[in-house]
Amino acid sequence: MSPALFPRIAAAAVGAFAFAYVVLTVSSPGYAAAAEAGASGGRITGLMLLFGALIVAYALAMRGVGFALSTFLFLWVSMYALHRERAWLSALIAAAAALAISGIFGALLNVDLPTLTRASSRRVGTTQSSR
Amino acid sequence: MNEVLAQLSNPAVAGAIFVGIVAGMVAGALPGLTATMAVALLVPYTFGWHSDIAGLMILLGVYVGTMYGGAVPAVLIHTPGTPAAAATCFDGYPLSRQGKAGLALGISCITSVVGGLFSAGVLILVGPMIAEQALKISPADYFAITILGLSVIAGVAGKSLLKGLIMGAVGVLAATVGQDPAQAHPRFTFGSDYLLDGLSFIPVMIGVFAVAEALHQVSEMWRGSRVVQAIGRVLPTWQELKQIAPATMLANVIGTVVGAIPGAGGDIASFVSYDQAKRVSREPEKFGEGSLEGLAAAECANNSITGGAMIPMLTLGIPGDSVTAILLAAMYVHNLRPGPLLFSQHADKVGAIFAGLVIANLVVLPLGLLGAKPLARIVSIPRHILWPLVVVLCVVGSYALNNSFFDVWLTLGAGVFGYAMKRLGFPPGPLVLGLILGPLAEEKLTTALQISRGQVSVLWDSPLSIVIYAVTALLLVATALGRRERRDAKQEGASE
Repeated sequence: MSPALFPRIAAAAVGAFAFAYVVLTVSSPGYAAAAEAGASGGRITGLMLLFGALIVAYALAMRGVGFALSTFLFLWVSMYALHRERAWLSALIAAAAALAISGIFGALLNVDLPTLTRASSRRVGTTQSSR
Repeated sequence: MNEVLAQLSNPAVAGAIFVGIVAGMVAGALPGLTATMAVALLVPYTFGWHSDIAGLMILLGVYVGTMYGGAVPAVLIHTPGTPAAAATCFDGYPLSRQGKAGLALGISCITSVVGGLFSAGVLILVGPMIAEQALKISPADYFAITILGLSVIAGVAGKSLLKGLIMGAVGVLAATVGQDPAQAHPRFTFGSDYLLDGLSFIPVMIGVFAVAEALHQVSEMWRGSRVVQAIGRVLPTWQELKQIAPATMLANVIGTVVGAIPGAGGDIASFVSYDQAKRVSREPEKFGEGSLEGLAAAECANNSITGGAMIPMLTLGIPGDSVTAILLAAMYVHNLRPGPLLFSQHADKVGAIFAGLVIANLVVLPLGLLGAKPLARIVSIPRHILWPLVVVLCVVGSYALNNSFFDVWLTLGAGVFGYAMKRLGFPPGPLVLGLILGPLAEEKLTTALQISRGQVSVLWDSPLSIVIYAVTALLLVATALGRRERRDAKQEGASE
């Protein structure tokens, strides 16, 4: 059996179902309306885009500054950005949550979380090797 | 038996069940956090555990706990915590408005436990028998079974069956990334070593369920917050228990049978059960206005699918619903391959799963009754605190799989894809099912064709294959009819 056979069957299925969907949607307004009823709607708000950008920044920062600090910063900034009240309370909750999550997953569940010291030593190593 | 008892007496296993139930009840009580999402979020954390059974027990606990927890916001704020609790709103919320929120939560808890125990009993009786027969199945027959498994898509497709089928096929296509099972030929890897092992379904699952939901919830934050009603008395009287007994017994049977049918989840079970309970009730006019029977039927049915859905999962390796699809994935991760051989090769672990399911249901009773008031407070956790925390759990969960940032980016990419699909009404469940069952289908197809030296007719040569294909067709028709009945019941419930 060719390694391409199964992907081709799957791709043909995607194409066939998509074609059927397009035909039904174009030919029957009732079907289109019923199918659209499954859509969640919601708004792509500036807040949501900001939240998405913060998630990306968080994933990037985790490698550079370690899990605990990046988690604290992400939680603080995103909680405050989503509510815009009492920045000190957001900071308090974020710090407690970052410490608790680091403790539970790092110490209790043995997850090898990225740390600030490891990130710094990697940077030093990279600098030395580039020299 | 002794090995099962020894495993369950391990404090780590007992603790895992307890923690799982509490986590499940909390997750179920938070609107937006479904049982599927809660189990998916927790799977990666169980990898490094020394005991596979403890890892599976916490997931079972979450599954059972979420089913009850989903009733809490349904009763208090008319928002089902999980899709399976949608029918609970019909009578739970009116009871809450009459000042009987505590009673509604108490009855939800008791009937959930009864339903869970009934279905666990059926699983224990029927499971080994099916597994014994399933040992005689050939690869071609097994391929037919994977097609039957893929028919689950019809049940989790949401409003549009075609959209579900498209997502399922995309999932199967995505599952072909990496080396092919026969010749290890790289496919769609674009020269990347990360993709040689394929797209890991756990990060994709976390992304399309949890990250996508977080983005969705943030986009809905402008709608404002919810108000929680007072709780009141939790325990029902003897008279009230007698009143709900017939509806509960009916829901036990309906929930277990519906749960065992691949593709029919807790939402279908609770709607069908609610409808049938109304038909046999002496006071059908009370349904929709705070009927204890209606509430009992809906809640008992959505919990009695837990044992039912595990029958095809454990015996044939086919998930009964989207949660058991993720439990199936978790079992693979813990080196347990669900299917007939599981019962002979890992009898002790199967026994522990059976016992764990019974214990989990028993533990829900005191926790649910005592925890009704604290759970009511959890419903009102502000979303600006909750969803950033969920994102952190998603990121840690995906990173913990292989200590790899590639999995984190895969999760976030799947999250954005899942959010876009959610906006367009494409359900995420079929995508995950395709990712899980696609490789199994390809492996069985390859083996069957190798044995028959390329004769495609081997796929429908045996009577068993023909029966399985016929059952698949019947299930698709039954699912379509069930969808219609659910829609009718929903309209009826809303109009009353």
